[in-house]
Amino acid sequence: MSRTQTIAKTSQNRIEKVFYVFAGLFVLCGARVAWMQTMSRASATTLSDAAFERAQLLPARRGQLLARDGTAMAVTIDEYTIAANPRGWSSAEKDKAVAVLAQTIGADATAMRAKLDEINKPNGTKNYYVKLAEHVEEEKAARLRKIMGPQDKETRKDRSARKKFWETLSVEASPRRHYPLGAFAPQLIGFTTNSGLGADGMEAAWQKTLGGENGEREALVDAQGRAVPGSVRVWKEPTDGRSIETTIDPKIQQAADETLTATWQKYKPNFCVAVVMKPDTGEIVAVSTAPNFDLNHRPKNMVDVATNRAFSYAYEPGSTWKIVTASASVENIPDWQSKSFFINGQAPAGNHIIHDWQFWSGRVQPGMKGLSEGIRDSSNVCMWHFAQLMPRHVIPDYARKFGIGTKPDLPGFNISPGYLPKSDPKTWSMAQWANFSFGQGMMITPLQLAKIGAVIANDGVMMKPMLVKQIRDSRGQVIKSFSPQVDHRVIQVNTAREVKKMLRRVVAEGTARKYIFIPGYAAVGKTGSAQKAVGKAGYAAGKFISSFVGFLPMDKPKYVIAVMADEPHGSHWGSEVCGPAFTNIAQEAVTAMNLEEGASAPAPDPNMMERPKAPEKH
Amino acid sequence: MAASVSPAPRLPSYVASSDFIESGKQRGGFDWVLALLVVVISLWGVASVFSATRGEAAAAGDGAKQAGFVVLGLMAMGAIAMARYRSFVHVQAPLYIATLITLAVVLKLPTSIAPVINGAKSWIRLGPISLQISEFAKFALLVCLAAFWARRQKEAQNGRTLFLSFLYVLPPLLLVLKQPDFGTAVAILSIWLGVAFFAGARATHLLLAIFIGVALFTVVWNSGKLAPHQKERLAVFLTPDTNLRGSGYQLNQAQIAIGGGQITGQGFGQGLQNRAHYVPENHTDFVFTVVAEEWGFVGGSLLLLLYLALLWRTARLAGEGDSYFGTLLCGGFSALLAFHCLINIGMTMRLMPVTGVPLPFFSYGGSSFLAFSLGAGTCLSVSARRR
Repeated sequence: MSRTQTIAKTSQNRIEKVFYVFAGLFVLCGARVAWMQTMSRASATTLSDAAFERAQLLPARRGQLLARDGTAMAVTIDEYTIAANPRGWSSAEKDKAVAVLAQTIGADATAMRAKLDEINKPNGTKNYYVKLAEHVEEEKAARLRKIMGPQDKETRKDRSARKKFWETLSVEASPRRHYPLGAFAPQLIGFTTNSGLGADGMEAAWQKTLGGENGEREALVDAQGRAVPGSVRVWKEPTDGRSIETTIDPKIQQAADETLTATWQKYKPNFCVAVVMKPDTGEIVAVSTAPNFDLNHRPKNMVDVATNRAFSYAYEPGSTWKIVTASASVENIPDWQSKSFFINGQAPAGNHIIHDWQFWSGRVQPGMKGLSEGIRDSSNVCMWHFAQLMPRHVIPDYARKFGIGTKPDLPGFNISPGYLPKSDPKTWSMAQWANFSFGQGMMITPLQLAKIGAVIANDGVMMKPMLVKQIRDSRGQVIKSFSPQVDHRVIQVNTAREVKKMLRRVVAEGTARKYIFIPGYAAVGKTGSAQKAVGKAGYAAGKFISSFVGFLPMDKPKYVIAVMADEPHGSHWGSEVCGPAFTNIAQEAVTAMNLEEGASAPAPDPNMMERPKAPEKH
Repeated sequence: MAASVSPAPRLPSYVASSDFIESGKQRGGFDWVLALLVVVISLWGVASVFSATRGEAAAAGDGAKQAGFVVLGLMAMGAIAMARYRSFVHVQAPLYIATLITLAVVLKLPTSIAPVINGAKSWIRLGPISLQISEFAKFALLVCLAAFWARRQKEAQNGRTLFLSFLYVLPPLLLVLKQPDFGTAVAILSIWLGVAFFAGARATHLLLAIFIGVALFTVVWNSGKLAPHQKERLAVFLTPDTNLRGSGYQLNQAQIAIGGGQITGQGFGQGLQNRAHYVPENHTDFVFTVVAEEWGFVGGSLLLLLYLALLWRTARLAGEGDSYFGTLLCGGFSALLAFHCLINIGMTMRLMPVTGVPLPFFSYGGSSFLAFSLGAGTCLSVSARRR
């Protein structure tokens, strides 16, 4: 056999062998196909189903939160996030894309280029997603989409090249919740999560109404996410969220926010709170907490500042509670008007001695005092004397009537019912009984404080608290209106009027005289300066909760204002700490009242234009 | 016996038929079965391209174009089949130089004429059609290498010949890598390796060459010279689930398509993945997913059998031709076919990395189809002249 023949023979052998190897590989391929199409069928089918039946979310647009005059408090702004796959472009392509982006959306080219070079994550794994620009306005995003979209007179090749190029980039709708009024009732309004769900406050409480209902589409979608014609299985259009017109008065709210911030800065309390309500309708027109913050720039650690303590913080009310004791006394002691006691600042209650702290500072003088004087001077001893004229259960019963221990009817909010002792008053010690008459041994929230004031202002009738005036659809049409609703009658008309007269004396000649004066309008109210209960041990020295609840004008009350400060420094008197805040807010309320009610607004009383003179010393 | 068949006049001895040993099973004449296989596979391919591009604006008209290419390609195949393949040995030098020039020119042309498609600059746009130069280069290099080795039959076992053959294939290889087209580069290397092996190069030399190649590849991989999409394709092959929306997305969708075919398929034009265009490039490199999804295991394995039959016919022709040159041509073409089929089908099933390798006679693409038609024509020409 010649050498060439040997080689030729080798060639044929080798070709034959290689053919068998290839044939073997083909069999392997066939086996793989068979396995994929039969054995792995279950998983393949699931994956396949998942790809098609994964409903496409058609997001609903979130409704607005409006103040009572239509001012927007929370709106959703259409914004876009520009993102890219940093591994999708060559260096030259990245330069080109960045140039286009810098021109259309005005983002910083150097920063975007640097982002595009992040082809690995910090931990070394591959990175397929970088955000190039966030909060891009609708108009800019539209300009960019125009560049990415079909062009005039482009050939098929151009089109596929353009598509291929821009496949790496995505323009994602990322609607942002914006709060146009900034640091305005942030604790009440609340905020949304990044995915647009209400997380706190009104945003959370009314999530269902505001959020609307996302739609969905179940269809065969192509790789670009477009539905394949004729393949739609489920198609539900989204229902946009509804806008809610609240009862919040933006001017009063603003005044409350500013006033409380000033109070907070002056007295350095842990926090202070104000609630403004309309007593005749139950409408809540302002809920303010200081310190506050701008909802558009939320602080990192919000737990302390974001809590709406007006609804959730229950505390021992102290002297403001005397409104309840007075109401009970008027209705349960037939000859209350003729009853009076000599008050010198001390009285025994069982083994304890109770005190009137005002005597210690010389603010009031000893003397014979009836219920009205007791309220005016905020005398604990006087309240205790009157409490002893009634069965023990009466004041706790009135506490329940005033709504303490019951959650105010504002579903969805983090709201406290307050606290009443569950034990039978008959089992109480004398000291406990005495304490209960002047505001110790129960807890109320600032909202409940305002409601107590509102009952007196509204001739004894408690209204259901109201925060929503109207609900509007996405086009602004009113679809539901709410009207005030009576909750229940707490006390008789006459009782309320008698108590109102007493509360007027507080402002005109009593503890609040120096701090509350609204020219032309008779304001009414009650101070509170409660020692702060700490744990079970008792009361903390030097720690007080100062408060004031009042309303005006006296004859036809339009606004109830409750103010509370937790552990103020420099003064602990409810009158001194909270009185000026009440005055400021009340002045704004008077303006609002005149604006809103026009001719029917209560006219300024010429007798009330001068600051009342100091009463004669008793 | 060697003298019983006389060489054609004026042809050098290395293309003479005298070096063959009778195989005993040979049958003379034109291989109609081979031609028929090509026609059947091509028509099925056209149908699949139609199915894959239905309702896809970007690829509208590609089915009709492919049909045109098939007509053109089959005519070219017939023409080549009638030519005397042994005379191809004379065009070795001009063919080689022409290949080098076109590969070099396409790199230099402005992108308006030579656009970058799928990351590689290997296309020339001629009016309405674009030609992918590298597809023709594969076939041209097969002819050149077969001629190269045929001229050196006596020194086939010499290490020097193997080395020279590598130097011979190196310039086009570098030009293709410059495009960069990793798939074609691997194809050229395998043609080189295949033809060298079939020509009788020593196995030890070849193993050494492979070892050096692997070492070299390792160096290049770590040198940062590879384009990101090339590295990613290989990396995705190794860890496919890491990136569902990127390169892994294509593979993942391909798995879903093939698995969804089950035994009998979802029916022609009914494949869900196909209709929704979920598998990118499913009319070109990933066309097998359309077959598997719409025709199921029955269709998928039938297509594999058709290719296997094609391989078998071409490999058999290698032992039946009337010259050593013909043996190398048929053997090399057979290997090239097998290489393309296995890489292409394998990659859709995650058996191989994703490289831009078309399915012969099947994928959409005129250049590839014409190049393979020329190859098949050559084999038919060999068949017509077998003893």
